[in-house]
Amino acid sequence: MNEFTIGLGTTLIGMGVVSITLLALSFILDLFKVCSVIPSPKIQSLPEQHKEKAMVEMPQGEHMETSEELDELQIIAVITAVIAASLGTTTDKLHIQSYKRVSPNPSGWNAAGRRENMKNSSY
Amino acid sequence: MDFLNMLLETMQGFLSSTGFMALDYKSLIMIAVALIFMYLAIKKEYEPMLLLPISFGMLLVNLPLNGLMEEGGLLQYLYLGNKLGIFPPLIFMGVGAMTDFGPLIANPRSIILGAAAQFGIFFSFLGALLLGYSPQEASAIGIIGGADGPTAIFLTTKLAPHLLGPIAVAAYSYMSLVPIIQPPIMKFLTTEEERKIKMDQLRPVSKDEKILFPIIVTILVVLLLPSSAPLIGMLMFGNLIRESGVTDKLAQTASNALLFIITIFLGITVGATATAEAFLNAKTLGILALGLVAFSIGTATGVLFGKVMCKLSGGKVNPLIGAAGVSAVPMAARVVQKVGREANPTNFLLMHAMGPNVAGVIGSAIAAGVLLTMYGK
Repeated sequence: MNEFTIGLGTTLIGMGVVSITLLALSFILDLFKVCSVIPSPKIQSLPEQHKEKAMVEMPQGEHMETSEELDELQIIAVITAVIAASLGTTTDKLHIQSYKRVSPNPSGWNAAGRRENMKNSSY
Repeated sequence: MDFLNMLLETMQGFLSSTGFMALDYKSLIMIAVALIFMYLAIKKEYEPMLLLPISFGMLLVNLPLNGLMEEGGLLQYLYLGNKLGIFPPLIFMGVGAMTDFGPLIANPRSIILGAAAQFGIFFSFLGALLLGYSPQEASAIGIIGGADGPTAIFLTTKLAPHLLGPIAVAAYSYMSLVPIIQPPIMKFLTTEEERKIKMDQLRPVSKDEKILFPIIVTILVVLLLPSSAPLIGMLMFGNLIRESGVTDKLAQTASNALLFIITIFLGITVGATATAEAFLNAKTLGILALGLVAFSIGTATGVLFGKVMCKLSGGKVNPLIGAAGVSAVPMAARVVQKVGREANPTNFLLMHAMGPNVAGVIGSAIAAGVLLTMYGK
């Protein structure tokens, strides 16, 4: 009976420690939520980086008028971000040298081949 | 004539040295049990990655005169990995490298459900004390309710190594029976309306949060409970190499090759502890019964606390996700998804259940740390 009484104490302490630790963790994780609201500087700077890169790397012949240039750079930034996300890498490892519109419904083989090419040249 | 006598004596000597002459009914029963586990692993696919090595270890060690677990035997050396507490933390490292704590970070309150489900451990611990087990044995039996094989093995090798065979078999058997044990309890404790509750989509979790999580958990838990360092430390280290993004190859090794190598050694040596003398006694029956109680109570308290959270949140939390608080990753979360979907085919609870599920892994490691601190020598 004595051991059982000690066991009851162990149960109280045990459940207490488990609950308090996990509760403390849950409050700490609440702070994470606050942190995640602030956009990470890396993400914030991405479009800027790519605007710069795109401007440097765009073939001369493909430059258009100034008003359209900004739109194009934004498109390149978006394309770069999407490709980086799909390859599971970061945008600083990618160089968009040129781009062109392709058929909206490529065959599965073409799409797979294109993805493979992008992946191989990104590392 | 002398030659014939010599031949006969040699034959007799050879026959008496074979295992056939040393077979007794206890060994035969254990061989049958091992073969049944092998059947369950191969045909029914009940936790085959562990049940197959365990059952083969059990078969080997119950074939008489094998000497595998005696001084100088192969398995006796491999068993040192368990005895010295090396294999279970390494398994935890692999688990950490495979686990995405994102759902837990996205919904921090779900972590409390992981705590509620640990009540099964302490309930069975008290039950075992009442049945006359020593506090060390009761602790090892109770941890079966954590539904976490490596934790159960780790604690048992530290507190009650003579019970390792039955406890490991009970822990992994009940883990594989999660889809059978949990649904009736979940349905009994919840109403149809509660099971139908759809939960809001989880917020996206940033990479920075995922990197910070293992570091903060390690600092907090290990400072609070140093005895949990081997399990929590390795779990979080495995997760950090996964989430850091700069050690992909380490994460791949920890979650694949290394994890499987350790699983083979751990499984076969744990099975090898299940000798007839260690397994065929009343204590084993008690362990199997108490293990089932621990598991069921853990599920029930998780669901009941889920109901409390449902009320407090104004019906935004589906109480079923509490059942995933007993570790058994990811099977318990899958069971929640299945039961939730039966009630409402448009319900998608899997990611919501993964929060309490991975919290359960942390919770059971902390509970093991508490028991080790209280009853470790």
